[in-house]
Amino acid sequence: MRKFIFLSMLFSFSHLFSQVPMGDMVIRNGTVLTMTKGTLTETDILIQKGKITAIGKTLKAPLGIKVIDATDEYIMPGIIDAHSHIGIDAVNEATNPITPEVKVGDAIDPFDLSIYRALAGGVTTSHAMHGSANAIGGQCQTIKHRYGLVDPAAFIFKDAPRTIKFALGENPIRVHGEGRGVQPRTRMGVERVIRDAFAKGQVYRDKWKAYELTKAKNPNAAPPLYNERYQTMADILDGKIIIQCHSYRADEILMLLNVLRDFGVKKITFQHANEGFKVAPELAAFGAMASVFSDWWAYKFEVYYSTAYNATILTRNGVVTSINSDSGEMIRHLYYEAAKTQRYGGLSDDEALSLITINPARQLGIDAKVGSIEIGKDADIAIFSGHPLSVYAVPQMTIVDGLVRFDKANDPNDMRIYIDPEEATPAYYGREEVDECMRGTDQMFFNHH
Amino acid sequence: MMRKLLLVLVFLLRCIVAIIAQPVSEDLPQVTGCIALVNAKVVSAPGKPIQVSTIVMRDGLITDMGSHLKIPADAYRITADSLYAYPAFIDALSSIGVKNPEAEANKNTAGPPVNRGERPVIDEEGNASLEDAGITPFRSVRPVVDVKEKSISDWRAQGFAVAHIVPKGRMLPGKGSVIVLAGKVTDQLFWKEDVSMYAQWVGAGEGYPGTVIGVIAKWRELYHNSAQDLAQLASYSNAPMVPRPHYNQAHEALIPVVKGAMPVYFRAPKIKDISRALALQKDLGMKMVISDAEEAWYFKDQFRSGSIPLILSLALPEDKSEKKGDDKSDEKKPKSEKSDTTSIADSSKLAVVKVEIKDPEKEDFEKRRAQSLKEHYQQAGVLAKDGIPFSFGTLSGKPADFTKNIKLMIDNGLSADQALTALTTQPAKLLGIEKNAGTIEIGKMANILVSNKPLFEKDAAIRYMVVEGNLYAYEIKEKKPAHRNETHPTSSASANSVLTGTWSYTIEIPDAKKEGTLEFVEKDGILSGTITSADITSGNKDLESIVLDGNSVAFTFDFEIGGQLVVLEFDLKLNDESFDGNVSIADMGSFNITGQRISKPN
Amino acid sequence: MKKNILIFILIAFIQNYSLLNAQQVEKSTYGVFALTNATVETVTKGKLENATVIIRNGKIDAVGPNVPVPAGAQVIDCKGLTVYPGMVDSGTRLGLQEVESISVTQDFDEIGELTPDMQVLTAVNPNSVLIPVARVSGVTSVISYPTGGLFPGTAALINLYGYTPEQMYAGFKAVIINFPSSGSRGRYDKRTEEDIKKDGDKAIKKLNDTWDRVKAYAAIDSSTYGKADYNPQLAALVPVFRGKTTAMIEVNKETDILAALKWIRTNKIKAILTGVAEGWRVADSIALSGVPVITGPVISLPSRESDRYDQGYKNAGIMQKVGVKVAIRTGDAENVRNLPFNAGFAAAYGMSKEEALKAVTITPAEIFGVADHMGSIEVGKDANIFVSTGDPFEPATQIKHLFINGWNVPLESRQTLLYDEFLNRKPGVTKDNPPGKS
Repeated sequence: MRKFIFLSMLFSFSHLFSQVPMGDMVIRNGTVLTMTKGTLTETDILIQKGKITAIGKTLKAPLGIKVIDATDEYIMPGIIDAHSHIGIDAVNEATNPITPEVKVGDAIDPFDLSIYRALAGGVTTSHAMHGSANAIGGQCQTIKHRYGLVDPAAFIFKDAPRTIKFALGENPIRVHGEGRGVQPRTRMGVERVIRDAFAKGQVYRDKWKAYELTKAKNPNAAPPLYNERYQTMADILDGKIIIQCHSYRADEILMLLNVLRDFGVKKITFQHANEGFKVAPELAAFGAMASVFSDWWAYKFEVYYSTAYNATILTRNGVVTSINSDSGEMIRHLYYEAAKTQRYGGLSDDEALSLITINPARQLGIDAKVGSIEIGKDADIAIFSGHPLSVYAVPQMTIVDGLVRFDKANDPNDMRIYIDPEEATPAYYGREEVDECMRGTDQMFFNHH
Repeated sequence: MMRKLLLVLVFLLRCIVAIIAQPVSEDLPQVTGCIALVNAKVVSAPGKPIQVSTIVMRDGLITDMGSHLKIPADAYRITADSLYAYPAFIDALSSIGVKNPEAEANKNTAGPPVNRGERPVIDEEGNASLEDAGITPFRSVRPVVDVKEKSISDWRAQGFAVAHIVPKGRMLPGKGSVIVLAGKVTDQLFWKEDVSMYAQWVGAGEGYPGTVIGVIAKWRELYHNSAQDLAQLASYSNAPMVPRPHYNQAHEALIPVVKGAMPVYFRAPKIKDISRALALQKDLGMKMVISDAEEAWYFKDQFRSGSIPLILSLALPEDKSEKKGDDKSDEKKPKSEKSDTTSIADSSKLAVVKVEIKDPEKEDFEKRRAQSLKEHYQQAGVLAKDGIPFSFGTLSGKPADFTKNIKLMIDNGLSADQALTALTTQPAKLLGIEKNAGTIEIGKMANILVSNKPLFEKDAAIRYMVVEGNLYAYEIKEKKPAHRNETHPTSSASANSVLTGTWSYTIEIPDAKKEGTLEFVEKDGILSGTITSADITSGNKDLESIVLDGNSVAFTFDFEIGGQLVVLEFDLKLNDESFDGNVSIADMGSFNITGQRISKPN
Repeated sequence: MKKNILIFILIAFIQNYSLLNAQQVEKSTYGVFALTNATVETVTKGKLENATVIIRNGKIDAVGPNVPVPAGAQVIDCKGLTVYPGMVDSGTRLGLQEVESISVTQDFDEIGELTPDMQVLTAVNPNSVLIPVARVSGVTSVISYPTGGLFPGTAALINLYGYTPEQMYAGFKAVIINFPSSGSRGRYDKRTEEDIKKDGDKAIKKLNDTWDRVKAYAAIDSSTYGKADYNPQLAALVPVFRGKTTAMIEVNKETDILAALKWIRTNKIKAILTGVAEGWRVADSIALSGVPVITGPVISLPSRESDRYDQGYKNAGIMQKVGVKVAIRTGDAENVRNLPFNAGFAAAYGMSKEEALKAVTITPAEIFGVADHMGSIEVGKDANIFVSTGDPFEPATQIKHLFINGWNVPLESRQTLLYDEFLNRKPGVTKDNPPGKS
């Protein structure tokens, strides 16, 4: 019975296409890892209308407000995954080496169980990315994990800056050069394809600027043909979109930095960047950021010369660094992935936890709203049984906008929302490994990795 | 490809004798242009009480109706004292009469390309041509309609007189037209051409746009450019020194959509299809009709205002809990295995523990699945109860399931009046033909459905269809008394005996007839079957997925041609010593099949 | 905060210092070692405080609080540190795979359904770059196993130090059987349910047919006193049939596990179940069968959409608690270093810490029948040992020393060397060295 009450609370279909629900509550007596203002013991957090309104000891709270007792528990900001592919139905529009005009935010999948499983790992926000099949992929979507809502629009992180996927190296080379017989087939070709796109974006932007000028004098002037692809390139040139570039090798990272310098583009986070540590000073000088794996390597040749000390070296060189999952499995334990930086380089607790909170928030341009526990920020919070950097810590409760979206004490089996009327039972799935970044390219070839 | 398949099929199923079961109507001579339906119990429009009335029809129109009419001397009289007359149905969205595009349909499912040469041709921007991309809004459905398509008579036999038909294809297959389901030549079918734009969430596979995100991006770009073209066309005709607007066939074709003069019928069966279509509508602002919806109840609020019309699918999900659920290999374990488990453990306690742990889980799944199924059946009823207007469309439905599915919806909360509304006046309004069709009134098109009992009641069957004054008669075959096991049809030997044995069959395909034999045997309550034909000399002969339900039997047979698997779906009605029904082949169509019993099992 | 700065300065200093030595990779040393003032986690004999462990001739020579340090012994002061037996990963592709996407660097999947004669030991590359990376986390031994086909080959237990496979071999081999599955291979398995079942049935038949031939071959082998016709595949299975060689049976789905248990019982073979992702569903049956289990990775998704999110984490603990002998594996190659964390997750989700430690030390040793010389800190056992700053399952813990067969192996891998080289890269970005073209 309890289960159904919980479900009905969570799956509130009535919110469809209306306002995103926000909650009120007070969390009492926890150890609060604020990320930006130190660690506070035996501290309360007051949440009203989905925002943090007070932090302090024995706070006064409105009568009848929901109270969560966090005695002996650790409270950290909701974890942010700067690179994932959960919650979307289409990952790769792998039909062209450049597809900046497509938006994965158009294909949000509110029913993806991975969202709930991410919540169960304390993750409240993720960056749903286009895949890495194309040198310039599609626009990504920062989403909040409001699992239970049915309206795709309800998952969109309001006012998060636009982001776009670029990809260097083996993946675009394999899909387009080897798979489809078009450029790029080398890292030289990748540079060429990206430069071409920017150059055409410039031409396109100039044409429209000229048209706008002429139009002021002659209302009958003919507009150029509208092209969503080069309009998006123009938007990148205008600094309206943050580039999120799948990259591995040091040389290709340097290549893109040079290209961006030539075109005057400043906002970039390198994704994966397994060899980011080799060019950490150059990244820092550019102001580029890096979102890396804790320890993934050797799954292909371009990540053979990697090190798990990557995040530490980048951090020590002043590069804003985050640790991401790129996986519906790993997203469930980013706190443990961040903890590995203490083994590999001895980052401090705050440094390690920043890799999955305030730093990814910076990289996604949402650090004014999430990524730390501060008054005025969104009430996105994860509560752990122990210090989240301990392997024995278990996420107890995850709160998004002041609403409990995961509660270990009340976590039923079968959290699927949409039930296929013709499917009798959920089937067993083996552990076939899939490269999420290359999802949707299998019609082009059969080797995923 | 289709030609090749047909040739092989012709070869495969060679014929001896033709036995064709047809509605009586097809052979009935049109004696006169005037019909009088005498003393029928008439429901002139949904919600209207039954009135005994005589209806006179001439030249395709209802010219007179009333209780004491003088019947014209030249009228063909139908004595209808015991019969019921309703306005014939209007199909809000379908592909009735539409041929399958040959190469197009196969491309999508053909799998990986054999070599690079077969990849879509791309332009310098790396994009596929409009045709390859499936962006053909400039196409009319007209050239792909064939009056000989079996779907026309099939759906007419279910009560439909008018249909809004759309072409097949991918993201933007083309423009839809309204047709009347009567005519000797294709042109005669057409009532209103190019009244709508048809759209789907179907990408071009290997070409751009390949996925739903590509399709949406492409929509934005096309729409934007059409809007620009529209503005510039006005400038071009009004002002000097304006260059000729660029020309693009797709942009040109979408101008009426941008103007709001042509609605976009968006096929959106599932919840995410609907939410994405609604988001696109919100973004671009076109007039949109959400079509072929199976899960529209999630969006009640959006449809309540009626600004976005709704067409519900006539296809319903199948209840697989008994038939298929039971042979699912996954959860269900053979009983013997369970006892093996016990013997490994040598403990009876174990079995008890297992039952306690496992069965509730499966029960929960079943409950949730059943709930989901129920919600799908309730869709129409729930929407109607909320006062949300909708029409029905046959696009994804099968003629054979029509009555069954309407009844399922009625059993789940839809009233017969509401069903009739969604099949007559509502689609008439949607298609802008309410002045001419949708009710039985003097001056309207003579589209009348005549049945032996009140519509949608048990055993109600159509006796006559009048479609624009053309009369079609149907014989009503008495149903065999039910001596079948309701819950386990395949486990009852007596029920299976209606099928077991050997049958001859004849399939009628264009310009040829194919014949052979079917043999069904039963072992331990399980049916199996084989097909024999002079042409099948090697390969598979086994019939698969045999489902016998009373005197209906369905099964499939597959064979390979040139590396491609062709699946024949059989749907037969057994009638003691004979059967009739149809055989459908994906992307090719549906063909009549008849047959006779040769022998009973030993 | 102050402490962190101190540590930082210290680390920076040490790194600068070792930069000088980065050109030369340190060699392992051998001899008599005395680990003094240590906390010793023996695993089998409790925890000793302030104790000494003597390593001599590759073996543990003495353990205890009052053990004298032999003359000439190299003394390693372990004050504040803990000595553990080296961890065993009970299932990896270590040595058999270098780069996952490059097939020519993969040596674990031979062509053919029936290749039990394929010897992993033949293909293990002692110089794989992946091995030191695994080693520095305290993993000293692993099972390397082949995959693919019904009988993919023969796995081996190897120590992670040695220059030839023979030097690495740790005394246990097992024939792998991929028990036929009636389940989907994964989310992207495009086969229909019917096809999956058909394939499964076909494979079961093939397994049984093969076994019939093995029986016949074994009988002929007996009656001809070992002079049966040359048939290396069947010959490789005869010892399994006779119960002399262990079979490691990979099986994951609930119903398949039960079928495998039945098959083991029917054919009376010595077996270990591996994988066992859905073991929690049939834990009692496994416990009653007495068949040991190797499961993992623990850090994994549940096998069904309807399962609770943490079912993968809990699986090992559920089985262990009802009496199944459970060892843990990563199933990995490049990230075998995560073995302790997999054990840590098992402990976080139901297993006790003690049992989790056993699951990567003594339990696998017992399962493989090598507990007489591996798996705990006891006198006479191989000196497979690591010394850490604390609980090795905690990510923040540092591994300080590592011994394999008495060799003091430097805690160095390409990953640490890259760290040393690049932490303060010279030259970095300076006035003379701009960050890129300008």
